[in-house]
Amino acid sequence: MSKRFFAVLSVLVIASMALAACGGAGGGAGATLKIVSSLPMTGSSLTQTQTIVNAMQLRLEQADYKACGGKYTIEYEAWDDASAALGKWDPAVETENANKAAADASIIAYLGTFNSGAAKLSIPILNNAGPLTMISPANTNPGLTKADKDLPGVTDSYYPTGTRSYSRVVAADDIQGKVAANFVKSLGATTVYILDDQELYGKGVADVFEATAKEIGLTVVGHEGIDPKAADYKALMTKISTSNNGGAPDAIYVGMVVDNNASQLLKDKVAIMGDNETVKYVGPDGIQTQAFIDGAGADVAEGTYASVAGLALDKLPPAGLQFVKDYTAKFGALTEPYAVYGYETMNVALKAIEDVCAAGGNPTDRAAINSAVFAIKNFDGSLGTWSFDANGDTSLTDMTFYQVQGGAYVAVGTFK
Amino acid sequence: METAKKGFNWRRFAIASLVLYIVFLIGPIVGLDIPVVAAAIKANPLQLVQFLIIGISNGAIIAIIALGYTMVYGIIELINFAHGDVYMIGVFTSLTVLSVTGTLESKDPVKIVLGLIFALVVAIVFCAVLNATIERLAYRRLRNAPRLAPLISAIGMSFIIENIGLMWAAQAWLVPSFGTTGGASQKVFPDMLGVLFTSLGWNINLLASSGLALRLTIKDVLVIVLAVVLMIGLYLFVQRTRLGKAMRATAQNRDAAKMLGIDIDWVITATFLIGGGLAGAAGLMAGLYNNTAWWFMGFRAGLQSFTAAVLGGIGNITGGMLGGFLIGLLASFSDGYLNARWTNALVFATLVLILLFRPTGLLGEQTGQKA
Amino acid sequence: MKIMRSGITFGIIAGLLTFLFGGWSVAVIGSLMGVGLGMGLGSGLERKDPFKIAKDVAPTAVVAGAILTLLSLYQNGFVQDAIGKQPAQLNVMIFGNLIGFLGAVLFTTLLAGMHGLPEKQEQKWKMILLAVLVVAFPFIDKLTALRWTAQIIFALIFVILGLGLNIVVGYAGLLDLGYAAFFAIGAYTTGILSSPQHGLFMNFWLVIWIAAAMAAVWGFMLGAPTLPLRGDYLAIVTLGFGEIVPVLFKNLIDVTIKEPLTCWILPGIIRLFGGETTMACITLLSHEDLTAGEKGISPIGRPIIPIINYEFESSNPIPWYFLIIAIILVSVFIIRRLRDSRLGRAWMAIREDELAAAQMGIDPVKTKLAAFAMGATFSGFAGAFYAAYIAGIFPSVFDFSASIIILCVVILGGIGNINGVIVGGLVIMTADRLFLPALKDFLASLLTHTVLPSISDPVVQLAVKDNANPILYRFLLFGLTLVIMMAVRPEGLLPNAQVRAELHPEDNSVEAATPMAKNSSKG
Repeated sequence: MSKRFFAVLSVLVIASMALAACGGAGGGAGATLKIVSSLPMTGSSLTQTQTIVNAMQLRLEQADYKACGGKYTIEYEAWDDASAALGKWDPAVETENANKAAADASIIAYLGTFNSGAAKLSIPILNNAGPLTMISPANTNPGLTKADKDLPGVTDSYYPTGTRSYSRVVAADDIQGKVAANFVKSLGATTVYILDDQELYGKGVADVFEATAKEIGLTVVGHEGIDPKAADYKALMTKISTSNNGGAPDAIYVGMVVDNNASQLLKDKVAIMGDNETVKYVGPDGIQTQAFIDGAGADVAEGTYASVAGLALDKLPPAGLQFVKDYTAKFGALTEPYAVYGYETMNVALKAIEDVCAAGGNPTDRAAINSAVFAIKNFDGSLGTWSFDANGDTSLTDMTFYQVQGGAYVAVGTFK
Repeated sequence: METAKKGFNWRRFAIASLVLYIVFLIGPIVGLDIPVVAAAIKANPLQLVQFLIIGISNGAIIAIIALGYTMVYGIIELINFAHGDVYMIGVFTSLTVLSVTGTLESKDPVKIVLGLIFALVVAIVFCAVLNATIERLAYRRLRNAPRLAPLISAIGMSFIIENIGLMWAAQAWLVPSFGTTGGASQKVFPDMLGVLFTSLGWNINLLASSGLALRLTIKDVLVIVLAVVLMIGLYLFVQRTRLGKAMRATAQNRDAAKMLGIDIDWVITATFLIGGGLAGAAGLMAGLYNNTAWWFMGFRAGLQSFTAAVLGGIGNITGGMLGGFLIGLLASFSDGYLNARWTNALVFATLVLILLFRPTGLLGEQTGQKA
Repeated sequence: MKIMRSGITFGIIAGLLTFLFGGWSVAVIGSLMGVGLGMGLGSGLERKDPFKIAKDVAPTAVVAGAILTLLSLYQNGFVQDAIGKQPAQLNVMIFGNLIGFLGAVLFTTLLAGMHGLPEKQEQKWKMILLAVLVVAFPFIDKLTALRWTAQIIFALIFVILGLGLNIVVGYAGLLDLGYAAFFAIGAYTTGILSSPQHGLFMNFWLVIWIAAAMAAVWGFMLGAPTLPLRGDYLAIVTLGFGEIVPVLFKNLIDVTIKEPLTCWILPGIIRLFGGETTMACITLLSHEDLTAGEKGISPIGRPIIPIINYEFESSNPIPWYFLIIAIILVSVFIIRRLRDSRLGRAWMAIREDELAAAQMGIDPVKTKLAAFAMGATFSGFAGAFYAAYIAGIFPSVFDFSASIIILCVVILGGIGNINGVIVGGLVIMTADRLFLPALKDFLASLLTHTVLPSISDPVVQLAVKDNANPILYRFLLFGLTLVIMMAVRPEGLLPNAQVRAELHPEDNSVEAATPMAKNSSKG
């Protein structure tokens, strides 16, 4: 052993690193296009997100993982943006996912996120990376695409390059809250109490609901945020039970997701104010999942309403019906409403790739893919025929209401 | 106390007014808007009684858990962080027993009663053994270590048990009613008491015939009665029996107790057994009362119970019970009259204030520590 | 032979790690293994001629490297296929394994050989090598496309937090269970001062100091009332603060402050006497959204290097890495000076025996308050960095489990020891952020391609799939860390001599050195 030994060894290490770096630059990029999704695959959201991932995979299998007449192979990876530490989506993980996608040149579409708060973090990162187009199956916060009058300039600040790169196939909460208020009125209610979980999504939809309710002549008895980790809400429900001049309001609207103790809230509501026929219980798509019914018990949940953007599964256009059939054949019965949105998201991504190819462009060019996504007009998808507007919002504004009947959600009507 | 003799204490008055003024000034942030609250009480005075009922029933569960904290602290001066999680395990144990014995699907009153009693016994035994095991594994060898060591070990134990609850909740093959929605989400604990009373043809609301707009359910009465009975039983046990006396002796002076021939290890094990058993009983009661099993419920309940124990005076059994009821009332009034989202912060604020201004609690602490 | 055995163990562990990460990871893992093995082997040997030591350990180094390379090749060839991933590219296979092997041999012999130098020189050379590795790491990471830098940055944030908590727990002996509150205060100060939330866009370099100062002030204010409390009550009060602070940030979204005298006290009195009044109500704040609640504050301004006008961006972790390394270096420097100062010795005196320290003329109140304030300052730095790095803050990040993780960092590494805390932070956070998720992915894809298809019963299939998720056992692992460390090695991996003496009072030789060790068991 001598100094020379170390010197030779060090030179060898550095030399092989240099060689490897050169080799690395040469290899790699080929005829592979990569699509990733970033969804919380932990906790109660998993019930919904797993079906989204399944649906995306189904769409790719149908395309045989090929695009542009077999010229390109498509790879798909389902990333998780949740961490066990938080039990839900984690800002650090979502940021890292977006960065990872931005750095991997073979990725040409980023499908997600599930939570609007997460989208706020990843949109600017992806916007700076090409822009890498981001298509969400589930974000409903209006502020992501449309300027919020309370916070001027915030929406634009998500898009530092000035080009829009974020689109979603689901209608935003400004539509959901509005339709929900009209629906509550159509149930014959005149007074309503609003509760929310204080999160971006829950509070957002509850605020729109409140504003619309006041416009259309419903009396909003109260609007309150709850503590999502409380052991029970009996006192709160007792207060609500006499809040309407000594009686209970006709309806309660809850803007929340199932993870935030939604089942306990319903249980205590039923314990204090009786079943959901006497005092109607209406929520947004965050509680339209089997986990909500499992958590509350079928008897207690009976009669609860929840709205989801789009059509009921059996009212979908032919392409959508075919999807439900294929999905059921492969993964078993489909009850979650978001699966078809996952499918449509992948549809949009594939359509953009094909469009770029058809126009003679290069589908590995992120900017080209992004413009192709925004150029989609009158698309004949599994949700119906629809277009993206300049902000990346869908032209579909249907809202379907579901009611728990016999332990499962059943569609009761579609509204605009 | 020169100034006190002169009659009116202006300085104290000024300070009190200033504090009150600040409370009134920033109170509305947490919903403490005096005119609004006063108007709400005036509009519906009966509701005050309703909040009392809810508060005392919730407080009863907190109180039973608090007894476990207070006993352990009284004897070895350790905040047994894992205690709240043992209670959570009690909820899961009883739910699993009810499911495995087929009680959940049953509509036969006899079978339900037998199933509940069996679940109660299993939950008590299981949690008692679990709690004693925790002591044996994590605390015993640290008995003479610096005080930080067992406390950190207790936090570690709490995390371990919480995780066991999380894993338990994912075992849908064991308890079919857990459903397929993953471990982290809440599980329904079916309302067996409701089923039982309906099948007997009773009205669950005892005040239904009185015509008042009040709800006092059999469930409320049951929790409160159970808590009071357990407290009296425990009090008599500690005061009258040999083992109880040995516990008090150990609490006062461990070395002297040892010299008198008391088996310290056994006394401490017995304390943990009793505390764990109480947590198991509280677990079944809470499950039946709130109808939820959730891996996280032990953490929150544990902190509230510890607050209750400190509020009443730690080591003091009557104090623990009183503290539990007071915390339950505070939470219920805060939910009812202030704003639900601030309730937890108010409970902790109470804890902080109590520790700062009256660390011995309302009824005085009973431990060997001469702080 | 003993050194050969540890060589084989290291080789197998490192080889299995490559199963999880695949690709280029073998190169980095091999070099890191070499560093670890070399340090370990060296310290167990006698001090003699460096080259002789190198020669002695060389066979071990080669064996360890060979085992690693073989396992890695097996991974490239078979495992990758079995878990349904694309096979490794040829150049990755050749060069990755080559660098891994050479790196393992080089660093093992080099570091073991350094032990042959005189102690001062050994320290110096090790520091130099360490510095080179620290500087080179992000670039190598970038070249190898492993993307570990982002996770390491996260680990380093927790290292700063651990260093701060170490002042409070390790030096002054005050158990703080709500330390994440100060992290939150630092992060929210940054968020509020440099985001569209209130239309303020202050410069990061200014904000980071404000955040630290803010955290220090709150450390002082929250610390002051808790001083008279004894050990475990102090822990509970800090826990209470730790719970209240995130709730505050979550709930201060609709703040209305009305001056009570004009709004209802005086009008009330007037009405009580039958009068009429239209007194103007002074409203100080009306429905003000201070913290954005659960929605979180985003986007948050990023640091800009003034002269070259470079703005840090999220997609390039390297500048962030060096920024946090710089913050850590400054922190370690300050903390070292503090520890050896009059104040530092006062902290330790208070920790050992408060009464005796007070008798010696140390003011316990001032000393403890200084510990709280100084400890909070560093979490203020960490908070400001976190807010700018993530570009968004959400109250649920700062809950009790964050406080416990920071405590784990301090306890695992070694209470009262700066190097220990750094090691503890790196070990815990890389395990949590890098190892567990990779293990989860690996197991999941392994199961879906091997075991699961052969299980016909869907219930069993789901049960196996759900339970084979290591992330599910995360809290269990943290809990076990605390319990086992307390039972087996309460002084941590790299103990502080004094703390060690205190925790092993039965060890006579050490007890003689610190006669007060026994008394301190009663706080």
